Amino acid sequence: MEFIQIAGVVFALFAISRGYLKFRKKSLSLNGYLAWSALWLGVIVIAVLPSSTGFLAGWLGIGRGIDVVVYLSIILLYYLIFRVYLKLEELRKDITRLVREIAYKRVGKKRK
Amino acid sequence: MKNIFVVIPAFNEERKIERVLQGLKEHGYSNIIVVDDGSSDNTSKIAKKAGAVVLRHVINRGQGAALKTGIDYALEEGADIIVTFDADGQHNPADLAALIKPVKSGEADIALGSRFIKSDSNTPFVRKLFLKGGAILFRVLYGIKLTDSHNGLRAMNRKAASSIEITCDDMAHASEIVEEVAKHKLRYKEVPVTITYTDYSLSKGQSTLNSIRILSRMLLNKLLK
Repeated sequence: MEFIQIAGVVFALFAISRGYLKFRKKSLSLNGYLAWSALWLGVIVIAVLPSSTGFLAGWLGIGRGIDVVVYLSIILLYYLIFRVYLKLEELRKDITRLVREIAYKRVGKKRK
Repeated sequence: MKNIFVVIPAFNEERKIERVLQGLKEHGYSNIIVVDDGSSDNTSKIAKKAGAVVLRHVINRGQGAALKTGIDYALEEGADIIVTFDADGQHNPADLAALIKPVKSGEADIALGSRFIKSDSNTPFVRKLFLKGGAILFRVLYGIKLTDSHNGLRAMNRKAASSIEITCDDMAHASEIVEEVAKHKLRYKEVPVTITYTDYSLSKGQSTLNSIRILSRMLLNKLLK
């Protein structure tokens, strides 16, 4: 096994253990923890058996297995960034609503 | 229809706000709501002293958010006509009578100020370019025909004030208001107003860079809807 493979497995195990701690502290939901673990288990599989991606590559019509991994990672990252963007917008609106309500409270008006 | 409320969003305007409030009072507008958008200076204190109702945002949320805070409050207070007015002294209270007139008479639901109807405009060239560009975009995107695109001086009746939903907290709200006018098929009218450009108001107003941000935001909104 190459060093990079071992490093990949160690890091994936670390990520899963961090996720477990967060799950224990209840700052991560069960679904979130399962999705997180599945992602890193996938990383372990690919790290230990790099040729396993070849099957996926052939099926998708992409030349090399490693390319499939890179493409999928980029797509996943963009999707996650988009989700974070939406979440931020939502938070921004929530904060504005709070700030507005505090402004009304302070001026001593009851609102519906 | 006599209950006129003036809503003024203000952010760090301690140097100008008193003069602005005085000007409005001299012209007979006494229901004034200043929304202090998290200023770090004495804007609230000065506005209160000058006799305005002050709503204070504890955190700065942007002009769009401040406008909505003020407009919702004015509606709750039973306003028949709501005027939005800038705090930096670039608007002239003498323009209000003409602005309110079409709304009062029922000719329009919302009257929008335009600095380009009268030819004596002293707008700096680059700004004019962007404002005109914005106006063309409104026409293309929403089918609304305006000569000015980013004027903070407006008068609206209850119908317009309650149907216009401002969700953009930042400066993009000005475009959003136009979009809402189109969406709810509100009757609109442009009224000539004068804008006094000073180094102060220019430094506090829109930067050219910001216009580009607003544009991209507008297009993104259009795409996501």
